[in-house]
Amino acid sequence: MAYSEKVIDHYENPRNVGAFEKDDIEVGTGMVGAPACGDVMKLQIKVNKDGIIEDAKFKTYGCGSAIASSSLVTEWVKGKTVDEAQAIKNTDIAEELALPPVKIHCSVLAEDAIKAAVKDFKDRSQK
Amino acid sequence: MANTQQNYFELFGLEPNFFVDQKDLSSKLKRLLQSAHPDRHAQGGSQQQMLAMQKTTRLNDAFAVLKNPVKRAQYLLQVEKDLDTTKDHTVNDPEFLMQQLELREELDTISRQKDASELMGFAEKIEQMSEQQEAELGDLFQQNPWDLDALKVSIYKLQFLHKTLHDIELAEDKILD
Repeated sequence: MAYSEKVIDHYENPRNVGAFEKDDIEVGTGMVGAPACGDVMKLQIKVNKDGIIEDAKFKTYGCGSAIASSSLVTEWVKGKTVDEAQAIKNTDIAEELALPPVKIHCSVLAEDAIKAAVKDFKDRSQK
Repeated sequence: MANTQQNYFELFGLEPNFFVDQKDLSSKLKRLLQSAHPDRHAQGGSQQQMLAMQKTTRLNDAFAVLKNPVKRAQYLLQVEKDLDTTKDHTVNDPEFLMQQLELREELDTISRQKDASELMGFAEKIEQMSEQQEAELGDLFQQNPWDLDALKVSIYKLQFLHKTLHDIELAEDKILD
């Protein structure tokens, strides 16, 4: 199956690979996996005191589409509020990357990862 | 004539059970494949041969499922509980997934260093973890009644470990090249 140009671009030049200190109060970490393909995705956001996402990092072990989906999401969320980030839909990711039907679950995984990261940030900042 | 209603366990004359004697399974497959071989039905005409071929395909499909602990467990839940655990779904288990991510990172480092003995040690570790996970899955299937949620967790954990084992094989190919 041929990957779209955008997927290849993100796969070959992934944006924002790396990690933040997960215990940092400004950081939210989303950790998700897809058992059927064995993909593991970690997506982190760094939120300033106005609730704006200043930076995002990811680390994904999986296929090209999973890497591209998480790379794209880290680009998209920068400058967004956490609530805006939470509203990102997998269909938008799939459309942007022109993912074929069999790879839609990769975009679902990325959506679940950003949701988990925002939830983790909110849970810990309320403590 | 092949009874297509038989499930994979029945096809091999087995009770639906997670515990399958792999040696017994292999020898049964050999025997069943021989009797279903299309050449044996050469006099039966094309329809008989077609049926024999279908039977062969089904036997091979069944064998592939029964010999693999993940597929066998999923099939057993399907047959006994009408529960499909094969669909794509997201796992939210930060602690376990973090451990899996760290293992993949470790494998990444070993592959980059092209360290064959390091890789062998790593492979042994993951195989051990995988065996332990399979044993846990077996224990869960021995409980009565089954704890379906615990079974689902145990199955996906084994799936992630199998994926790491698969990645180890790819790394082995790379290093040995």
